[in-house]
Amino acid sequence: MKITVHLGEPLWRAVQQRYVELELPAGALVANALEALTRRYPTLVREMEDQEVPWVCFVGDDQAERASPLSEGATLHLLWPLSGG
Amino acid sequence: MPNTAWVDLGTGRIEIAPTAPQLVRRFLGGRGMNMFYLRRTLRAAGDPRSVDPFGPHNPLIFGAGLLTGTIAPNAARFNVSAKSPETLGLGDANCGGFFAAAMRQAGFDRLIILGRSSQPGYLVLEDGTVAWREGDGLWGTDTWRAQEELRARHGPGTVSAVIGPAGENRVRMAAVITGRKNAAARGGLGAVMGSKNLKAIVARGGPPLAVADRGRLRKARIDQTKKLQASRVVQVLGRVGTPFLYEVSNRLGAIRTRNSQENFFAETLDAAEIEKYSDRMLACTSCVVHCRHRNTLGGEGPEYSTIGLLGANLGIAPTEQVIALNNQVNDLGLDASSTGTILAWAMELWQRGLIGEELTGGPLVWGDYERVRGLIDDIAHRRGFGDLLAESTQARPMLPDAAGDYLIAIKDLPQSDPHDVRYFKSFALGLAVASRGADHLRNRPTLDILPLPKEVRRAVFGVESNPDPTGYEGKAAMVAWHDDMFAVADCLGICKFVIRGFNSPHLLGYAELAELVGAAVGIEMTEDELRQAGGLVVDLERQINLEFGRTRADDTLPKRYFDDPMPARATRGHRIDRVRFEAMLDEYYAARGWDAEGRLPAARLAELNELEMHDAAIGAER
Repeated sequence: MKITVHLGEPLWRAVQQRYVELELPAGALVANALEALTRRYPTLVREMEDQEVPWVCFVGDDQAERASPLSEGATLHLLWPLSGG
Repeated sequence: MPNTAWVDLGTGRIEIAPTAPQLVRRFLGGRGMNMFYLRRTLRAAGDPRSVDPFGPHNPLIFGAGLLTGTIAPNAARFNVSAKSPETLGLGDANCGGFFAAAMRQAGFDRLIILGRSSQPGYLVLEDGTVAWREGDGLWGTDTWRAQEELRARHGPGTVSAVIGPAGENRVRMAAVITGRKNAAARGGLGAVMGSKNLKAIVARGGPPLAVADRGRLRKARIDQTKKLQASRVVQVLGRVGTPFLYEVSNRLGAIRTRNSQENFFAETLDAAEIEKYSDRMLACTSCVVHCRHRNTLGGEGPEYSTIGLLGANLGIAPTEQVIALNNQVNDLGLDASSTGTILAWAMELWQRGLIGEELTGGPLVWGDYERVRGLIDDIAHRRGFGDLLAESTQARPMLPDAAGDYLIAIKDLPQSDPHDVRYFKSFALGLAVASRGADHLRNRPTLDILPLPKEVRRAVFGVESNPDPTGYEGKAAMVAWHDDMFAVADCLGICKFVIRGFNSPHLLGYAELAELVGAAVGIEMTEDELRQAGGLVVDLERQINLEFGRTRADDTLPKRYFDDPMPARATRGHRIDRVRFEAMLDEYYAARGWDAEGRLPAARLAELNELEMHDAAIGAER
């Protein structure tokens, strides 16, 4: 199945694009998408592992976890959850 | 020691005196010292409730932070304080830029301005003197033009804090501006400045500030800068500024949209879109972050708050239009947060048929950029319907009774930031108890949004806290921790972007700040003493609010936050439960050591009153 990954600030800068399309096996989870993403873009590994601000993910409009399922056409959003400015 | 100048614009009398050292140790500087003098001066004038915010007895206080102008990281800031014409209560606004460092180098850490000049003019600070100048040709100019004119008159190196047409016309949400966009924006203190016929304060700089131990301060600066520059949050702020905060709030469904009737908006306001209009990033005095955009439309910004409140909250999506509105409010000298909130309020009243064309002079349609642009200009010049909107929250008695139900304000201050707080209950509590009204910069526990382990939370806050972002219980002590920490930052003149707890657990905490105070000022304080100073300022502000007649009933939220569930995305269905909110308030008062009505213990009040005895500068006649 095909999904879209939306990389928020500052993650997208490691791959120089905000939206990435991934082809995943049916029944894939968020964790599988993250593995595929960092395999394709090793420059993302450092960003994803940074613990100062642990990123959060959403599948569509819902907050999700690594174990959350994905479906055909889903958009996975990876974002820094900050709010002070 | 720091010097305070008392200036009476009515009589021309100027007194300059050193600030009592006992007060510096307790209130530090900036916001804390301003609050000390605000309470003292208002009480000397009689009942604070009866002081006219536009009258001669309302003190307008400019106070630099204790570290401002030194090489301490991000030590640029000052506070402007007075009785607020917008809230009729405690008015206080914090601002960056270069003005406060120049003010200190000119010989002053604080100005207390009383009276009213018969003619417009401005004050010049230079070599330890204060002088009044006629304001020929300045009155009526916008904030940038005024600063350019003052630079031409007084030479390079001149830094000014000014008002625009909004302040001159006593618009209750007028800001004090320095540079293109640095604003002491909240509470309408630009209007207080205008009421005194004071267009500007000009600081002519001077030699670098003397510090207690130059080598020690330099070492602290180097060590702390390394630490800060290793922070990913600092790196991202330096690259794109605060607009990056919009994207996640929007995805979560927590962006105030169309007066909080909706909770998400367009991706045209994401940081990556704003960045296309940025030609470089700028910094304030001694800053290691440089988060300010110079935009290609001739201004600076917009910040996250402005993007949300002049964009999503008004239904305006085109990036360029929102940047243009940002530049417009800065040039006119308006608070972007109040302006966006009040305009959205009016638009919803129009949408609901509560007001009509006979009052508004035309339709008020969401997303109508040209109409908004015209109204902003009308507000600043008090023309037509803009004259009513210029009253901000004080316009409520002139509108139908139901209008108040749709006003997003607390203690009559429109909410500062674009975050809809119905989901994060700690954010809601913070807004409800913030001393100046609905404002996130008094105590927002921003890290409550992060999935941090309990032990990390305990290490950062020093208190146990509930990690469930939507929980009510176990949040109050964490909010109180932020009260104190942010008060200390404001007293020292340090930007919150380098303060632990504001977006990152890795930034400067009490230990680093105490080292800076010892090195720069020679006052050795423990971490606990520093936090106690912050707590004293929070208590003082509480007492000021009580003397303005505020009560527990004022520590509340807009009606919509209680009654209307959030409509979409991950926050869907969330609102604030009134009963659980009141329990959270009980918990907060207990954490602060206040009684069930939010009053200070008698011993604490006596302590505050006794501290007034140390202020020799005021003298018996004041």
